Amino acid sequence: MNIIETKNLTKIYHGTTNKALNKLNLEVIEGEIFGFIGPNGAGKSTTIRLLLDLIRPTAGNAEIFGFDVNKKSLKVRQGIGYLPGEIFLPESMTGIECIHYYSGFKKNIDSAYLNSLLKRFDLNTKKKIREYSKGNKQKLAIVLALMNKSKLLLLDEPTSGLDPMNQQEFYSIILETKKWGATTFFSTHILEEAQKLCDRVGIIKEGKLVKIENIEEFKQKNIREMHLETSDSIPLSHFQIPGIEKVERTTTGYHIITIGPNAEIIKKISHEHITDIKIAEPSLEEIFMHFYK
Amino acid sequence: MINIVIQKIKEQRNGIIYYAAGLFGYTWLLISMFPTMQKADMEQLTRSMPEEFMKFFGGDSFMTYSKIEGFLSLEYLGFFFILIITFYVGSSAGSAVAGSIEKRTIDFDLSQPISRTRYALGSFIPGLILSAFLVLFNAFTIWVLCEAYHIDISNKGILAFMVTAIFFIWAIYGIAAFFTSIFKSKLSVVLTTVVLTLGFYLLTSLSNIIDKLKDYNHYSLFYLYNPQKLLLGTTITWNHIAILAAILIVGLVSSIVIFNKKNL
Repeated sequence: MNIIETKNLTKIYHGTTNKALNKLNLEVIEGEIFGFIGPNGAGKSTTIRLLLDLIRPTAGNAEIFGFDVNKKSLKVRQGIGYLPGEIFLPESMTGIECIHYYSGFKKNIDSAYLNSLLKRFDLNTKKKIREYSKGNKQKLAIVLALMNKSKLLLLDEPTSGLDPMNQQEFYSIILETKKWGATTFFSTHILEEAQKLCDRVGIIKEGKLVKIENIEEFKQKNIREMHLETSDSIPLSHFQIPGIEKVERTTTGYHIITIGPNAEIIKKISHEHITDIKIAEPSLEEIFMHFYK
Repeated sequence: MINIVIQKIKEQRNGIIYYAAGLFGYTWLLISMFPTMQKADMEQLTRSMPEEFMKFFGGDSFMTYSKIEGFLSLEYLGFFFILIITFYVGSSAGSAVAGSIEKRTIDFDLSQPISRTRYALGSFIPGLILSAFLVLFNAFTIWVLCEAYHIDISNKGILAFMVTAIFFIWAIYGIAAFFTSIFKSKLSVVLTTVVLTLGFYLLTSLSNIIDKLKDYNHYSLFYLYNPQKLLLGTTITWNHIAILAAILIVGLVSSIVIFNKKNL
């Protein structure tokens, strides 16, 4: 069963001509964790805001749980837990007051689960929200999104502001939500995060969905960037090795983008006079530039 | 919705205490001054003033200043009292939608299972309750202080003033509620509401002294609210109450309709 389904969903903001979202056709299946990957300004947050009926589409429509998100907005939102990209909570409240306030909108708050989340994030709920750090605000917002065990979690860049330890805790919490059958749709521009959590990923660029990929296939692509440090001038013909997608001369050596297993590439370039090799995950922008044009 | 109402009341609690204290202090000052003013030669004082000057502020004879009803109306209830509560009303309605957009808390609020209509109503109800409380409190203050200073004032007059003033303030709230759905900042709502109220007052005042403008007085909200007549006449003009209630309802309904269609 499709939990989210969009048909030609398009958004042009008032006073602009650019399409923030261009004919998005997307299906998110019940129980899966779907990552929505794209650089800043790609249309990720616009999609989530359209799904929540905070903004209205210029064309097309979206359904959640089989209901139109605009016509049956209330029914749809009864089953959603939402984490905004930027956290703005009532600053005058304490953490616990904030939890009580937002509990007032929802039914079936699982107190035991709520307390376990607070404990896992080690959150001091007696402090005023205005005294919270960015990370603590993020943690509180995650608790608010999860506390009633919603059927659908819409998370907009959920780990921004979290330290690495809390990021790991968050990843395990999200994976645990599968136990109660939750579906998660989350936007990110961190590739590693998507690879850790998602069953499938949708790649969005300049408002257009470029591709939907199964995460295993995506992982197998193994896109990497290598920097070879050398003072020698290596003929470009020496880089004509299967798996090398791009070669660029830099001031300190060569910058290479590779795809697939790197063993053969390393073996062949080891014959050159290379002083150092750095291998890293390329930036999302770089990936999009070469593989999702 | 009840959680919104409770939260908004909590948020406005301190503000209301300050407003009430200010209104009490000013009322006390005026009422305590009144016996001394009565002893002074008020007739001579008012005769020395230009007739237009008195008319501009809603007074037209010695009678108005020599009685507590006229004195309070001219010095306080006719305009200053309304202006103070208009600031509160503009601020309260302004924070309901425009303020939440400005603070950006509205996204998270509206991601919760609540309709925009209920959200708006939940945000408006505290403002209506608390503005009515300010009027009630001030009317009660007037009655108590008049008793304390042995000044005769009609209880029925206070009741007539109280009922009309509540609806008058609610009508202004309706206008502010309309603005809160249009604007994206609380300050814009407050300023527009206050400027509009000042405009209404100016129109009434000018129509009192310029014959050509007399007919335009009907377009001013202050045409429906004359505290001196209410305190002295002791009767409520129900037609005026109906018009004020209609302004409130039209303001609230149009605000909710706009809010429901709004892209946030």
